[in-house]
Amino acid sequence: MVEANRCIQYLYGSRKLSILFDGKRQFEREFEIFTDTSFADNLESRRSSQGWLMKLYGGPIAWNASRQGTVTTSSTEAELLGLSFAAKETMAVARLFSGLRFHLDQQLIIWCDNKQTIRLVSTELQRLRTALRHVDIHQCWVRQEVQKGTIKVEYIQTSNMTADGLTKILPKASFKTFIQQLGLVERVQIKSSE
Amino acid sequence: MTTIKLQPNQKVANYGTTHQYQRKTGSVNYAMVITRPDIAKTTSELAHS
Repeated sequence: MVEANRCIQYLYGSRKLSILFDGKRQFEREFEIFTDTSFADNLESRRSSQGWLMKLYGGPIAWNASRQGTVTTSSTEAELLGLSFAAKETMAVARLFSGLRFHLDQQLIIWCDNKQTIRLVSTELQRLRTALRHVDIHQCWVRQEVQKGTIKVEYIQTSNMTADGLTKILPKASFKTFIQQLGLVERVQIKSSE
Repeated sequence: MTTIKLQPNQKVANYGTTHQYQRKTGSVNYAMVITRPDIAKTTSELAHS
């Protein structure tokens, strides 16, 4: 209860923080997806946390932070599950875009901060030997989509990984950079009735 | 904003307090879904405990 109140307090204190799309923001790609996983961070069930975030023209449009449904035995497996989850969401959004006749010039890129996972889904021969069948299926599916060219998985450093804050509770300093990365801006010019 | 760790409820939860907690978590969740990705993880933690 104390914790919930604390969160509401924070929300009130930062109520002017908002997502800004002003057309002036600098961004490298029109549409990008970030995915991150925190391995076995739940001490009771030992399940991992996953998070993904989509950015359109430098501003976040969709995000999710959740706990994975199954226990995994390595961080690579956890990352694979998260990646596959994010890839599915990405394809759903891509379908929505084409339904709206909104065409992106660039290829869909998913940023991931685990090199091992990227290698597993991007190269032909490497394959994770896992005893977990449900993880294996995800791996094969992501690999299939990468080979078809629907999506592309690329590496990004953890410091530039926006989805990092969706998988772990950050200390104050990195929380500030997280807010900057998200593109949340304190609004001041807009008249408010508060 | 310092971080505080989620602690399990020491007292016996009755219908009232449970309902209140659910209401609060739900309110936070609403804000998160609409415009506040910064509290996504916090919301998830609140909802899981």
